[in-house]
Amino acid sequence: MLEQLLTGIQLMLTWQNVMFALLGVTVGIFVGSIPGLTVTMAIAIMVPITFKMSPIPAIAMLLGVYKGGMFGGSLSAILINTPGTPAASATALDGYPMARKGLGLKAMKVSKYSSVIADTCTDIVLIFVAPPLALMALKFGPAELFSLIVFSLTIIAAVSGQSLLKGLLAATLGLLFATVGMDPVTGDPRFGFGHVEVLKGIGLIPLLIGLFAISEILVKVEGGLTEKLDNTLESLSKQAEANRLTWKEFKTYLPTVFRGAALGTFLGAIPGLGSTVTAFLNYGIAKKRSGRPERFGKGEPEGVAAAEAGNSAVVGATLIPLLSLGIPGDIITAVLLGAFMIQGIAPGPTMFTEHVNVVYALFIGLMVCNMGNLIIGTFSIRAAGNVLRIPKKVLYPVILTLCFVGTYAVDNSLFDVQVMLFFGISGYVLRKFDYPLAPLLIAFVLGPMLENSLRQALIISDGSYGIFVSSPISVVFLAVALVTSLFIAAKALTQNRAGAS
Amino acid sequence: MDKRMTPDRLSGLVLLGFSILLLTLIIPKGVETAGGPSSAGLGPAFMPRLVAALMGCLALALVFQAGPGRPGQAGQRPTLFPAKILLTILVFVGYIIMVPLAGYLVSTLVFLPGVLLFFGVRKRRVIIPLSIGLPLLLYWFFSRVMYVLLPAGILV
Repeated sequence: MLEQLLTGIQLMLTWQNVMFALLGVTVGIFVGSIPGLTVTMAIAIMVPITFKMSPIPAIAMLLGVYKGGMFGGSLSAILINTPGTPAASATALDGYPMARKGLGLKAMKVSKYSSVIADTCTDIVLIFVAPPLALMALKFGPAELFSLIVFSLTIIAAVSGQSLLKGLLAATLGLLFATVGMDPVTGDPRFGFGHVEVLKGIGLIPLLIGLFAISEILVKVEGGLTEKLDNTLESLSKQAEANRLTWKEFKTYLPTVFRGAALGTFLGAIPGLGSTVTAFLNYGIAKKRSGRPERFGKGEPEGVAAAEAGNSAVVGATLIPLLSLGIPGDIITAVLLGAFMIQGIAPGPTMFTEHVNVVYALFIGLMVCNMGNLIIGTFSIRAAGNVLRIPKKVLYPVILTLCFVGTYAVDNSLFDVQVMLFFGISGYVLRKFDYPLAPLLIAFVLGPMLENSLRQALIISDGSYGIFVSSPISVVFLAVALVTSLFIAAKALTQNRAGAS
Repeated sequence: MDKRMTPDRLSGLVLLGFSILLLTLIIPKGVETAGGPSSAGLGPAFMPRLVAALMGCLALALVFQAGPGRPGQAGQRPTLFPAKILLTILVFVGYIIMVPLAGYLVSTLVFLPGVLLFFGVRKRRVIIPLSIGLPLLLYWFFSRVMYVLLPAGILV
């Protein structure tokens, strides 16, 4: 392995390859930070550019877009509560409250360092344990996958708001929206009512932008777009002292960051779960283990660290099933799969024998991209800080315009824009009644996989639900989900009784 | 309005009603099963029914948890869709209707300054360059760089 690593270093560390990797990071940060533009879109557009390139700079550039995009999504999440990527929704939970207190710069610094450290940790793990991790992921059958998703949804519903019931209700709405379109097994239309556009299902981007951007704008418009708040933010953000991030302070967040790295490595290796789930899971665990859980959601830097570490750590891990099994871990790695094929490389078990030098060169490329995030991220933060100075009454019309064209561009569809508006209005109503939006989004993302794994498990067991308790892994996840729900319900009941008396 | 109707109780009842509507009307009408009702088992309607039933149970739990409410609690019911919000939504709907007719560029050249004025921006040195520059920039970026076919409009 050492010899292969040295060969990889030699292959990757040429000025052209490094330049392309850093170019990818720059594009990724830019695209990721703008709500309405997606990392998937950026990678898909850049794939044709790689036709004429050799494999290493081509894939390194695309990986740079992926990594840069994951960090870039946090910038808009922190500054304007509009996540640039789905995974950055968790970052907004504490990042935006920090920005409202004038600590936006500090939030972005915490985000940058957490992101880079967790990403680097997981890349190191990827290098050394990719093959055995891929074998472990193979042991997850439909029943285990179903239980894991139920566990994830329960935790996310529990930590995303004040009420577990409301969180779970939001999750059921997300699951319901996920069923719109065509049945994944039989292809039968669901809830189409004769409209052809509905058959493709509800797009993630229209839902995301509607729920988090449009509803935010509606809530803010109702509150009044006054200049006073902006002046306050502007004056506080000039206080360099308040926005300093010392090593002494950041050291206290390191356990959370490393835990996010571990979680991201494990969960990212399982196809389909992705960075959004890991971000929220790590956030939830950090909140539970914190000595100050009541500060989460109100501008707690550890919350930002947890979310960013969780979502960035998945990047390297999603490459595990892609490289070792040829199975894309999420939408982005599915596009990367196409890029590999264009270069004449078929990801899968044979990749580690036929193209081992390319694999290790890409491992080094991942490290180069992390350094890129650290350096280019610093400049991006300085530039992004200027967004705070723009009055909201100017910023929001611009965002509305971007949301329209960004949503339209996904599929050249005005129907998607209409869907975006629907979810914008729905998100506004849900917010007014204190329903958390994060469980809705997560459940929507995981809904198809939940349904597939549930139906597959029941088909395997001839309709017997006992299959979910016959596997130790499944039992553990379901038991933890149940215990957590009961614990939170009991706590809520006790608080209600105390309040009533 | 019933003084015991707290926000949580109201939303719980709405969701409970919605779940009943799903189970009795929307799913039977909206989910087509090629093999007919006998093959419903694990068919297309399975997951929607399961989710609707779960939603109903959770909504019922929320209604009971919320309780009848204490005096004055109903006053906390949120106000929905004041005039400002309705107008914002209507303006955006108008934009969506206008785009396929007048094209993306023309519609945005009208929409953006309109919304800026509606939101209270009055400085001409902000409105004019932004209203002209941003639509042109977006049009160039998405149509020439990203190769997205933006609506050209049937009137233009």
